[in-house]
Amino acid sequence: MAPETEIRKAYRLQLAQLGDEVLTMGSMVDKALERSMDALARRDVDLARQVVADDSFINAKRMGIEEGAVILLATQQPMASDLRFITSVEHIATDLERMGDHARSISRLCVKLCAEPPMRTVNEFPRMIASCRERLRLALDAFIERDADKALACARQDVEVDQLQDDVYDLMLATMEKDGSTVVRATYLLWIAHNLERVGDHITNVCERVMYLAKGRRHELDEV
Amino acid sequence: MKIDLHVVVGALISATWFLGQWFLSSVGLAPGTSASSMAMTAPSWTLLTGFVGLALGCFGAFVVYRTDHGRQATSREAFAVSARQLRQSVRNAVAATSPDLMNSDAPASTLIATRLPEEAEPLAEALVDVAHTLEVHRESVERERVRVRQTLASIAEGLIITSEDGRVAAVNPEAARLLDLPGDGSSLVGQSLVTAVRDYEVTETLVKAIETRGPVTRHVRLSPFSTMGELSMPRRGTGVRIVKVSAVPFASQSRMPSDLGVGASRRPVGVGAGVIFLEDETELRRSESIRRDFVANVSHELRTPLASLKALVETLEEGALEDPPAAREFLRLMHVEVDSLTQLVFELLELSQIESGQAEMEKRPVVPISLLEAAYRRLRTQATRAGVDLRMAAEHGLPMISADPMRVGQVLLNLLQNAIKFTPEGGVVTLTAARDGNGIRFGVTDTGIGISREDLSRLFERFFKVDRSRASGGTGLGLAIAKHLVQAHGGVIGAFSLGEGHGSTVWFVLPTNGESVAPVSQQASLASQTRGALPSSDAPDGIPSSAVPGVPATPDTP
Repeated sequence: MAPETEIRKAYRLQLAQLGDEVLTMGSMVDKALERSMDALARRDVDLARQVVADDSFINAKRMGIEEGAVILLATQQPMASDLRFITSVEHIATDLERMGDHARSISRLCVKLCAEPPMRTVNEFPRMIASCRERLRLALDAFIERDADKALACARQDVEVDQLQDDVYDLMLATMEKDGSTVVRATYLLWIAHNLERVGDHITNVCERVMYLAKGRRHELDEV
Repeated sequence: MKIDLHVVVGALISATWFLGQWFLSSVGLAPGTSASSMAMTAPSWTLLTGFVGLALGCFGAFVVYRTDHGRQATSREAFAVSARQLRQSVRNAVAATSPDLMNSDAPASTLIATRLPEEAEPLAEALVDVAHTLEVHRESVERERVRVRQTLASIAEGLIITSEDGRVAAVNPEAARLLDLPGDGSSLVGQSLVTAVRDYEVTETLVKAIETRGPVTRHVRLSPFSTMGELSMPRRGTGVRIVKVSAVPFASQSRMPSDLGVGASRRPVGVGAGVIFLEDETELRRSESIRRDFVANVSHELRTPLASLKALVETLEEGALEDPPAAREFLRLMHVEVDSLTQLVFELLELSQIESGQAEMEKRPVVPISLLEAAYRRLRTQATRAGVDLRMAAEHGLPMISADPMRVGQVLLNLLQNAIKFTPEGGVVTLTAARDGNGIRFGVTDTGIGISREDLSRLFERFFKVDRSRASGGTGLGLAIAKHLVQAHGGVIGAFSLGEGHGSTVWFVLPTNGESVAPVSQQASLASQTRGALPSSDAPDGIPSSAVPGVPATPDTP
């Protein structure tokens, strides 16, 4: 076999680096999600504000990934699996950025909630955030390993967060019916649940991209 | 065309033969001349024999030529075989020192072919010598490698070494523990740092260090995925960690030891060769926060009575002194404040003594019921005054316990005082004692205001008061002291409540053998955490139950 040329070697490195950048962005989003919920649990306004401010780094990271992908497309004109990889990276970065936006929204709601009197513990939130973080990790594992089975398994777990969101919805409605003074706070909590549910949906999108990357065919995983 | 010497010699022989025959025939001595039967003339006979001679000469020359060539070919083949063997020997000698054979027991010298031709023997000997030297070198390298691995494993700090292409070259078990990496982390060697660690703050520290060409340190909050799991509360010990991450780049990014480099190509930007140190500072931060809270709380508790005293003195100065009845009342109030200050200082000293293990426990065999009775007698009047029904219910025939009766009595009194204080008129406070595993469980149950789940987790913290308005008085140190006294006896303490307005029970178990307890019913109390029970061993001082997302304040609505 002919030895790899320097140009080819550099190209391989750039591809690997693009994958690493996605993982880095995944870690940023994971921390933003975890911190937004921690701020909520501890009524820590400073931490919540920090999450809101740090969202700009996630957005910048997305821009960087997109730029890297475009440069690779333009200069290397990749084909087959490499082409799928680069286009998938662009889409995954977009989904991750949206997840970061949801973490920012949760933190903004947390700041508002901290200005209100304390209301009640929502036991569904820890389970929702744990599920989201575990699935995010699983989806990124599937991406790095190009593992379609793992992506499918990850997509299937989305029902859990959906179910929990429904539970929060029922609970909040009951709370509002019982005590009218809780309407504002309960609405904020409902929005938080909705944001977490949307994070789950974006993770499913990542799984779809991984399926495309691994199999070369597009799969709609929303219905699994 | 090249004329071969052999052909020339053959031609000369045949020419000599031809001329000889011609001469003999011309002088009439040729054999053919006597054979008259043969009708052949002398010149034609001569010609024939001449030709035969020429043919014989050529054949002779050909045979000589072939033999010589054959010998040459044989020697060429032999040389080729020797060269092959030699090449194989050299290859073996090199292979013997390669990493693949590092674990092989066969010495390098045996791998060198010994069937070399005689001429190559000196070369073979030289190769064996080289192989021996390499073997010795290899063993010393291997020993060094084992030593480095053991050193890495024994370092208390987490440590990750990366190669130039941003891959993990080495990782020690402590780093694997801190970052929640699989196993001891050795399986991650060769992976890219970003893929292996999955924490951008850790990797970014190294990137910054490489960019600035100097060490970079930052504190990173790590929250592993297992923090929450299925439970609504995190498992203690697996929660958020504060880790000090220090990264140092290798001095020369282009001169890395080759065995650390997994790939040859260098990454244009980002992670390169360097070392990351990880230090767990969770406990340090925790104790810092406790100390900070403690100082803040002490200052607050001291300031309140001092402010009252100052106000009273000022009022007296401004004329109240001239009004003897008012002055007497102010003096009485000043007494109360001074008493509360004295009590606070006394309790602080006591707590610090117990915590530092300086307080001596005069343990002796004690009948549990006598402890209950003593507390009951001392507080009966106070309970009656508060309109609370004080009851006592103890199991018969309880074994003796080894305890300091004064200290255990102090704990019981404290629990009883709290129960009476927080139970409205008409309520009931019950003192109990019963067997529990290898200990005796004492309990104070009331029908009072109850304790919320959030408050339960902080009940035994110093200065924690359920009554946020602090109208009920007290220093907030009583239960913290009680906890340390019970622990000094080898016991456990805990509390549970069905929620606000539903009363509460504070219990402690002391061992009958004077060692430590393993109460049977502790499991039951742990299981009842959903109802809000929490043993104090799970409730850290000063650290709020921090990871229950939601909006803490009141318990769940049923």
